[in-house]
Amino acid sequence: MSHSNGDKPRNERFLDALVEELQTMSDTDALEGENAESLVKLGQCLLMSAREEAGKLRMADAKRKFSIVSDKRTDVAAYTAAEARRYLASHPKITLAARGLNDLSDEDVLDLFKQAKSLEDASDSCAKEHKE
Amino acid sequence: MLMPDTEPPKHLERTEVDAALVRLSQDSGEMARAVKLARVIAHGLPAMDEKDLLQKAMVLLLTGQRKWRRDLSTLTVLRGVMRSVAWRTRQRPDYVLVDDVGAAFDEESESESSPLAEGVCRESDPGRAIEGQSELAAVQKVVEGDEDLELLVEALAEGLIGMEIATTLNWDAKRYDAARKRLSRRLAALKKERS
Repeated sequence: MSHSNGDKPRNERFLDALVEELQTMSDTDALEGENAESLVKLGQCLLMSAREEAGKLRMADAKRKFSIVSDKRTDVAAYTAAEARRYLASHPKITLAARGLNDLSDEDVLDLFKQAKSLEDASDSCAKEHKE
Repeated sequence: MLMPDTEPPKHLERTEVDAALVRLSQDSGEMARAVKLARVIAHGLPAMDEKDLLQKAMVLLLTGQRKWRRDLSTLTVLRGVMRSVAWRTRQRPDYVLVDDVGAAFDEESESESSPLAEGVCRESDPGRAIEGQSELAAVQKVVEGDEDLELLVEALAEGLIGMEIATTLNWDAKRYDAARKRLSRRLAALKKERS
């Protein structure tokens, strides 16, 4: 049975058909010109190396993500109460009730600021993941 | 849309990918198919042979940078991933396996639902078409001088498979089987011609 891929370029059709042929041929035919024992050794060796490399990449990825989180935490901690008040007062998404900032202690303002920043970061992160 | 609890995810989980690769690595017939395909795709790649290509494909699947669609065979998934790697290598010859986190994120930018991420190559990319032509050309070169094999490769390039080839070429099953076996042997020789 041929594929319904008449509009594909010849090379794509060739690769599709080659995959199909390889899959439908017997193991004996597939092994023509190859050494079965060496292939199994090669497979195990490749998989072992691939697992190792995958582990390194995952570790590097985790380190990168951790460093981003650490940077964000440091950023928030570096703000003063006055800066936090200015930020909250100008933030379009904070309700008017919450902007009664003069009634709040510095500690409460910083706490509110942290919450706003963490919501903002979470929202950015979701938007980024969604985009990806 | 809510999915029924019983429906499996569209892609294999990491542990399932690992298990599938273990099965591949322990099966000499499957390894022969994968290595032969890798040889064709790796042909002419700078500083990368079929083993490097196959290993890189495994890494990408194990890290989840390439998704393994549940309904695709191992060979079909490998074909898509290896072609993608080959394409990137031709675009960027310094594309390396280790400590290449930047490249890893580049690959993540291809959306999960993109055909490329699911083991199927983009058809509209002219770069891929050129690359693919060289793959076909490589196999055409390796079968030069054997008229039946030249016809068999031509038939494959037309998208014909199995007994359809025999019917079109007016061959009996025996002649088709013999040609296919010789093609398999020539693909093994492709490695030796490269080195």
